[in-house]
Amino acid sequence: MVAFARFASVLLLVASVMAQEKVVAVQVTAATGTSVYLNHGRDISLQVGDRVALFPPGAGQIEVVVRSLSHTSARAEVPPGVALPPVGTRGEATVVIETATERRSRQQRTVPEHPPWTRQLTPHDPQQPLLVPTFGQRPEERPMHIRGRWFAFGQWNRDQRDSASSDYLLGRTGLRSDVQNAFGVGERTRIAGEFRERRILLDDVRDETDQTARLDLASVAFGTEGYAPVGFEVGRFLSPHLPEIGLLDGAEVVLRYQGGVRVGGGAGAYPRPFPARDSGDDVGVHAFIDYTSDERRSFAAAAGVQKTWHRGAPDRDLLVARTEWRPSRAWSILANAKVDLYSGSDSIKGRGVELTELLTQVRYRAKTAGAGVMASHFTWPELKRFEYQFLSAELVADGAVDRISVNGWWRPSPKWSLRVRGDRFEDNSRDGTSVSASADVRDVFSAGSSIGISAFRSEGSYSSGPGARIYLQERFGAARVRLTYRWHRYTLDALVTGDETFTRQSASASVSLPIGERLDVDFNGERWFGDGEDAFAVGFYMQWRF
Amino acid sequence: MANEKQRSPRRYGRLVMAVWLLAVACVNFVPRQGWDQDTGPVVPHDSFPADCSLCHVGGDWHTIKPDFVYDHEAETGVPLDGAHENAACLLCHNDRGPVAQYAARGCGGCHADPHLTRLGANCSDCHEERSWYPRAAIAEHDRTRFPLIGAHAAVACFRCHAGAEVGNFAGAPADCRDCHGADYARTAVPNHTAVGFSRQCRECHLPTGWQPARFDHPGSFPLSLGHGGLTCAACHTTPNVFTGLSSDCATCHTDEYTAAMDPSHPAAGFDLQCEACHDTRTFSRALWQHPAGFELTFGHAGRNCGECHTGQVYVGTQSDCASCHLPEFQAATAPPHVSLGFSQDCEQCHDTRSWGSGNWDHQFPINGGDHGGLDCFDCHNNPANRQLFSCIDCHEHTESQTNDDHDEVTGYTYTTAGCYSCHPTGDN
Repeated sequence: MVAFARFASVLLLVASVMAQEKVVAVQVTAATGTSVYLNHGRDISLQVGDRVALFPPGAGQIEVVVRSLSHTSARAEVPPGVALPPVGTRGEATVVIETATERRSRQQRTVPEHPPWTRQLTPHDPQQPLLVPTFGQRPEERPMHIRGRWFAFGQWNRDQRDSASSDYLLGRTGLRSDVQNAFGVGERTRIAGEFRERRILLDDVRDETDQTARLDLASVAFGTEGYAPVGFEVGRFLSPHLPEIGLLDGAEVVLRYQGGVRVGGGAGAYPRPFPARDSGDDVGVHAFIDYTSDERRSFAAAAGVQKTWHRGAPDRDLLVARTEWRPSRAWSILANAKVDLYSGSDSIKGRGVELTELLTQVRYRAKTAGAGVMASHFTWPELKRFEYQFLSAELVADGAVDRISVNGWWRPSPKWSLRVRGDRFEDNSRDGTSVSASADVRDVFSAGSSIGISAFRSEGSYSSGPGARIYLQERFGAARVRLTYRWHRYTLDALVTGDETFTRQSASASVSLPIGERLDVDFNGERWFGDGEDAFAVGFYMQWRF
Repeated sequence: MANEKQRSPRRYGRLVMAVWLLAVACVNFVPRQGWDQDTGPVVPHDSFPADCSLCHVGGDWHTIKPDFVYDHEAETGVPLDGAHENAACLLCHNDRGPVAQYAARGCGGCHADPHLTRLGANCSDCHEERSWYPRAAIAEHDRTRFPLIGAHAAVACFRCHAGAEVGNFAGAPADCRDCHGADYARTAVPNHTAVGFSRQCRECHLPTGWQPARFDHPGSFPLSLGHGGLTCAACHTTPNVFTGLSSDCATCHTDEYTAAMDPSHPAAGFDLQCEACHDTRTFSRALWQHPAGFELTFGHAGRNCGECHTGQVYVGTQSDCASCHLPEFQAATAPPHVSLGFSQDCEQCHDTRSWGSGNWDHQFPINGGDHGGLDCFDCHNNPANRQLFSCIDCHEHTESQTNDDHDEVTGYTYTTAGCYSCHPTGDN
């Protein structure tokens, strides 16, 4: 009896220091080639070499061998000739639970010295997990990929004061798509276009209806990757390097140098900046150089030159300059300018140099507050090209518009935000100022809901007066509903009968309805009413992404 | 000019040469960028969990698991709003370069700017993140040079900004004529072009509608009162001729003059200068002043002319009262004017306010005292001549009594004349 007791004690002692086996349920999360991926790894003490029994539905048990591990998953190989079990297949792994003694023993085991590392790894952040290096695929090695969106848009505006009415109808549908590596050379093909019909129905005037189909983009680009030493794009596209020149029917090449310098140029025709996109009258060449200091674009600058001909006659000589400076994460200073060079053939401007466009922007953006100032100067250049509507010789000769805008915002709490803004403009015959202040509070009734109120005042050359706006936004599931009411009292001055004051009100509603992950449908409507006004607009926007 | 033409190609030649030299220098001396084998996958995975199966389906690194969920805001501090919520990762995280480089530029880092950088970098000032549809465009337009007040609110953007659909809003002038030139040109009543009206629509029109127009008519003929609100053609009858029109009333109002029946202006020989009697408020109320000496006061005011000027004869009308009021005179019974022999000069007793009781001042006091309340005929008791009166026929005192009372009065006689000579007011 005593002997038996001693034997039993020894058994218990041995059992307590020896590893224990345990059966754990696993599941296949993926299957490819000759491997399956399991939903457990080291977290259940699975080890390389362990065998796992899988029970695919409708088939017999198969046994796979663990080949590699992560903390929460494992890759196991299926025996040759055995069909891959489907994702979701359940299984059992018999694992050995490591004892404290074994753990201590393993920890005390000496580790042989690793041979010297020959591969230079990129610096590693000790705060981040150490990963197996991954290797990228060159663009031409990647599968073809198509992304894009199709949209449809409709809007009906009606002014129905008194017995007269005016109707404006606009319908648009279009497609924009990027295709990566369709030809297997790592290129990107981009296409965008739309069809639109618009109708204008006015009393006492013959109705106008017109349809236009246009191609906004149709280009093939090579070397679009940031590291590519050469980039080339041909077709109809907007130059990513010199967007100031507008749409181009032609080609552009860019050479990218180490240190952030890019040099390039292009040539082609410049479609008119109107929906018909008429092209062919204006051709030209352009060249550019730009520099980006680092990944944060702490400093970037670009300069470009464009020379165009209109129906064979010399037209525009343009210099473009652009600079960005970000002294810190919070501050950014941007500026871009266009300077036109006029020769003796420019009859209105005469020979000389003119700063045609200048836009400067200073922004401060911290976590809870921000501010910005934007100033711009615009003059109408003398062009043979049809680029501006309603252009008169006086406007080209003397027209100039200067604007300045100041804004600031403050988020005292995650829910509250306050904004102020002031704008001023001045041109040859008028000037004006407007100021506004608004407050928004989020998550009032539910997550995603918000209420906002704003007050504004404008002093323009046509009208002046105060106004206020309030909106309410609420989410119903994925849908978002927004209601807005606006009141504006304005005085028209300089009328022959003296100043007259009017009140305008408007109410609007919009519903944004995501349907699944790819389809969005928006409906909106607005009605204006008040003194001398009775009008409404209704519309929809539908977008399907692929 | 010739020199300019000669210099111009030279200048461009130098420019082209400079650009070419720069290009050559870059090509030869600055190393080009290139493919880096260590670049890794398109999206840098340095900070990702080691468990690939969290994101990828097995067997295809290019396909993300259908039930993959990633809280971008929680993980990176950058919220993905609007359409960005469901955007594919690779739309932003691709090998165009580090995403931080593009994020630094804001929207413009990924989205081509159809406005050609003219409107600044704050896309969200105008656009929704879900659909790019401009947010509160009408309201925000108040900040521009042309607030969309009145009828402009419902006008489609493309009506004024022909390039709106392709993002071209630049340089749109803000003068009325720039958009309404066609309206100006086609307006036929009046023909603005022919007349040479101002092209600043706001000088005559409100932004709430073309009508009513508020034309600043020449100061010599202000369109006040009844002339206000008329169409131009009401006066300027020759199409699109707005000059040389006489400002004489008769130019337009001859018909009214001829048709006027009360009084008949032609018959009366009235002057064609309407303003002599009328203002521009209305023709139905003349402001004509009746000739001095016969002011149309009180009861004479507001009368039809024909009541006095019968037979449309306005000259030679007698101004004596009886010319018109003889019937009233003859019909008067209290007192009977005729029998009392009253004067036909009514104004001796009446004014023009109303006939009333007359305000004739009885020479002998009869409004009170001993002689108050008597009937006319008590004293004027001679039916043959009511102008005569008698003191002794109605007097309460008898002759004997009266004689006794006057026995010491020298020259006393018991006759009406005797009484009246000593007692003209009836007092003792």
